Amino acid sequence: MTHDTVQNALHDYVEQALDDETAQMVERHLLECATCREEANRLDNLLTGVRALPRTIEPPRDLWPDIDVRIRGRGRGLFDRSLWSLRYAVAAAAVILVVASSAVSYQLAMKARRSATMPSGPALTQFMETELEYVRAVAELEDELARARQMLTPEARTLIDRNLRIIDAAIRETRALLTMNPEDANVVEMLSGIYRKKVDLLQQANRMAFES
Amino acid sequence: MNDLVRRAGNGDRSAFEHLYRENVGRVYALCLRLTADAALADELTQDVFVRAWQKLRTFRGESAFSSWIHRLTVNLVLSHRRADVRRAAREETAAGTSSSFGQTEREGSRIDLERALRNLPAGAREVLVLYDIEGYRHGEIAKLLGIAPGTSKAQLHRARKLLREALEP
Repeated sequence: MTHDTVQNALHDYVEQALDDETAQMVERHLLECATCREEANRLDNLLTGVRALPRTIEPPRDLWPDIDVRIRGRGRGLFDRSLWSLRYAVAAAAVILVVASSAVSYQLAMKARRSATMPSGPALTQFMETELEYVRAVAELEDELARARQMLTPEARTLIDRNLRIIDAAIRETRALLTMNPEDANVVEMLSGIYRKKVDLLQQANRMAFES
Repeated sequence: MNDLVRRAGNGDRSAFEHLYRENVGRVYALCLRLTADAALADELTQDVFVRAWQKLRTFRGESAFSSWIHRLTVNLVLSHRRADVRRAAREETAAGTSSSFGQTEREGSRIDLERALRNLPAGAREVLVLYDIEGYRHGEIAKLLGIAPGTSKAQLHRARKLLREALEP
């Protein structure tokens, strides 16, 4: 067995994946070749370290509250409606949603404004119901976009996804700020404004898909 | 089928929260190691559990819930990576989030290893995480990543070589 052949077989050797005959040939070479022996030891050490890595890492923060909001806002099976593959069905749905969610967006904005200016109780508590409605509206629009996105150009998808990520980051950060300052009506207004931007962006994206 | 899984499947959110608490460490570790991006891992972990909640009714209980959600995680993370648009966005945020990676680790050598893992090229890292840490075989990895089994093996050898170079001065 040549030096190069052994070098190529070392990974399988260390993993004990070689048949007996080949493994014995590798072992004979290792007795003679210090370079390959060293290589086998280093590889073995590396694999021992990698395989000893913990299988679990706790996230730095509790993700459940965000997940809970999302699953409360989104019913079951919305991602799985496969019968919506026909283009005209998607287009029709997009038109209905754009119209309907414009009204929803307006109503939610008014509601958020009212809850932010109410004199009593923490702003966060009063905003939670409105937030849930935003989450539901966003979920509906996202589901439509998931079905319609193949009609968008790759460039449009890039732009939309990038902007959604920016908005999502803003929602997360503002939500965290509101959790720390539950009395602050200004933060409620800010958060509500960001949700409105998300609804607007999703509406525009669905409209683009419909018109493309 | 586990009682918690059955209750969660019937819409019991507190049962689902228990399942979340039992499995989040495993899901997050997988997301973090596959993406090397703490912010994205946070987001994908949430997506996994939201997707799991939606798909729970289709879970028949042939495998353990932990295996089912593990597979769901791998599929979701890899499909995320396949989408060019999101990959571009992830790269934008990666530089700003690296400091939080490995915060929970205790041992120096483990931190070094996690850091070296994070710096591997994406394709090599994914194969190494799936093969060496998660125990997938090359045939399974090839199907998941849409590559040939030989490519999976080559990527693994490359990843190990790069890891060794990073860890050995």
